[in-house]
Amino acid sequence: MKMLHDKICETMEKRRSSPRLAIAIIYGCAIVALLIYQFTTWQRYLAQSKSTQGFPARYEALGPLLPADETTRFVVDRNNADLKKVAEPARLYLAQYVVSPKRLGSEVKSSWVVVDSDCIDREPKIAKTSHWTLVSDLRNGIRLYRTDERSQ
Amino acid sequence: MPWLSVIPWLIVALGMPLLAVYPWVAYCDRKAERNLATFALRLCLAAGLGIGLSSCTYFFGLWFSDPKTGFFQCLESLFFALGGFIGLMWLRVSRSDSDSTASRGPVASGSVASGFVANWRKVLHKPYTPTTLPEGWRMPLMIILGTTFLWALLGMVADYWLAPWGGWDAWAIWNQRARFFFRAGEHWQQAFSPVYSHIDYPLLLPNANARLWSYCGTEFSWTPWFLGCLCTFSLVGSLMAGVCRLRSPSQGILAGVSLLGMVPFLHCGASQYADIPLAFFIFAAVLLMVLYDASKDDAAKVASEDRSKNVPQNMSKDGSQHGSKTVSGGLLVLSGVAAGCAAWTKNEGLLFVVILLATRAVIVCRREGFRQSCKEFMGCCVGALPLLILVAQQKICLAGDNDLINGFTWQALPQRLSDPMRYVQIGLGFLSYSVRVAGPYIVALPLLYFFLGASKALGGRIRGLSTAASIFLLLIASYGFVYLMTPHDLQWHLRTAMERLLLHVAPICLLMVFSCLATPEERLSEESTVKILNEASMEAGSISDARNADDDLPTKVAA
Repeated sequence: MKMLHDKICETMEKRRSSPRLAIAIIYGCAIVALLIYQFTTWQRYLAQSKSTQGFPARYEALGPLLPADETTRFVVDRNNADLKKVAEPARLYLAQYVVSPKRLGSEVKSSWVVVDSDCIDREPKIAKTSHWTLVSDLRNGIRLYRTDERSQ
Repeated sequence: MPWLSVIPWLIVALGMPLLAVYPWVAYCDRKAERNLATFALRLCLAAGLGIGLSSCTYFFGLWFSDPKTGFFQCLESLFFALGGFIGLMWLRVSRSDSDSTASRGPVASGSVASGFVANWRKVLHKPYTPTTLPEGWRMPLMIILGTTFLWALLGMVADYWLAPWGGWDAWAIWNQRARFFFRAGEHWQQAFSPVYSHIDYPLLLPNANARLWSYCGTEFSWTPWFLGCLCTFSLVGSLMAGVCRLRSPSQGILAGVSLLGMVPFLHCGASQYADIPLAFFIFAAVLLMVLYDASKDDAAKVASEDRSKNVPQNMSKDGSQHGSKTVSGGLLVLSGVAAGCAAWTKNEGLLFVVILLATRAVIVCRREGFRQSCKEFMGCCVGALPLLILVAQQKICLAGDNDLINGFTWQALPQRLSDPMRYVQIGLGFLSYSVRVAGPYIVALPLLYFFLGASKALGGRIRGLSTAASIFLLLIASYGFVYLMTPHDLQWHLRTAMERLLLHVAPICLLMVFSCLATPEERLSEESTVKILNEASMEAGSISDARNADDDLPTKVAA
């Protein structure tokens, strides 16, 4: 037993004086991790649909149309299965980011409403039922309406 | 290419604060040995702190003028130039003063200006000694570092390609606010309208991004990414240079390669989140503390050696020593500045400031008494206070409610504290996300211990490392407590933030690990010692064999 213990200690001591191996391990781990990082990033890039890649650009034409002195209401048309691609709060934050310093909010009363829908051809149901007046259609699912509500 | 024309402006925007801060960093760290690691550390710290301080000037610009105008930019550049010049002059005078302590040259006898003029050549041209790597190791280690850096940079470029506008928090919080500051003119305070999320967050990153845009004159989507990369590589450089100064050059390179191999760290930097700048400031504050403690130990060692040799010393009343091997309290002030910048970056930074000051005060009080503890506490506070005032001003005048504080109720407190499942969830979250952040290093670092072993010459570094370890553990514990108290769904909160929180402390963890491990140099010297001893024993053996043979010769002949 003692001999075995001595043998293990001796082997460990031999191993411990292997700085080259230690450097090789660190370098190997870094390179493997970075290669996987590259691979997964490019894979994600290729897998991403074209619609979500240019998603923020959808809102760019909206900025000049919005009023500067009022917070505009932002509504997402829920009657569309494609909505799963980009989550609802993400749409609001992206739109806020793109149109700033014009203000958009989901829970505000406003005389202007932006409806975000993935359906380009059909008018959103919420706009029909609420009798909003269409002001502008950006032809990419984004529509600006006028309402009778007063801003807060 | 329009972006090419803005490169000079970008260099001015980033270079001016760097050049202004560098002499101050060098002044605070003036007692350090002049080598490449010291230069690299100062450069990385100056780059990060320059970003932090320039964001403050932009914030002042928002309040008092229009920071997009050329007038403000000229004023700001003048301010940085003046600050840098004063710092440089101060540094030179202090250096020439310390150089001529023995002879009491023109600085002591004449005016400060005459001393400056007389010594500037000597001080300016004092060379940096190159940091030595083991013979035959320079090229392989440089190749290792270079290739890892290139792969890391390529990964970050790919991340930018994938999402030029950054990750969720980048466009929902940081860049959105920066756009507001840049675009809204005098209406910039509308960025704190309740329709936006997390309006209580500090403003270092939005101000720094808006400042770069205002210098460029237009909004390039790559400038926030570039700032993220700068912070990421400044952090890697600080870690490398810090470990290099505490241990050895090859150990520093190993630490840097390890951090570059942490993919979530690079991804977070490229995603334009504030967590990497925060990690930089947290790490800088801790590293400066560790370096301060190390310099304290070195000074004590030199003093004891001198005492044993009966060398007369020029001691001050408080026991600190004058001369080349003295403790620079400037490191503490600088650490305070870095902590203040952390508080100006994210709310977690405020927590860090409290932990840093409290930990430091307790540790020093136990070791060196209440008086020294107060002294060091004040040193840190001097550095952190201006930035903390700025944070307080932002919180009072602009910020809205915090979601965590708003959701807190005293009724829910006992229920959350007594729920064992929450503890289990948080513990498992910490474990699983630690594995995710560390990646292959979860196996590689224990292996490294097996191959290199623990350092036998830890000596004085223990003091500084205990501060680092205490801060590390307390940060983890306080993050855990915040999770315990969170009003949000715990699983969601763990999923969305835990990885980034662990990135704040990962560089401190690497600093501790690589400070405690034996360096390749140590192992190599041991190897060579063993080799020499073996050769010596073999020679001795052959000599004794020869002697025995000589002794046997007459008997053989007789036979």
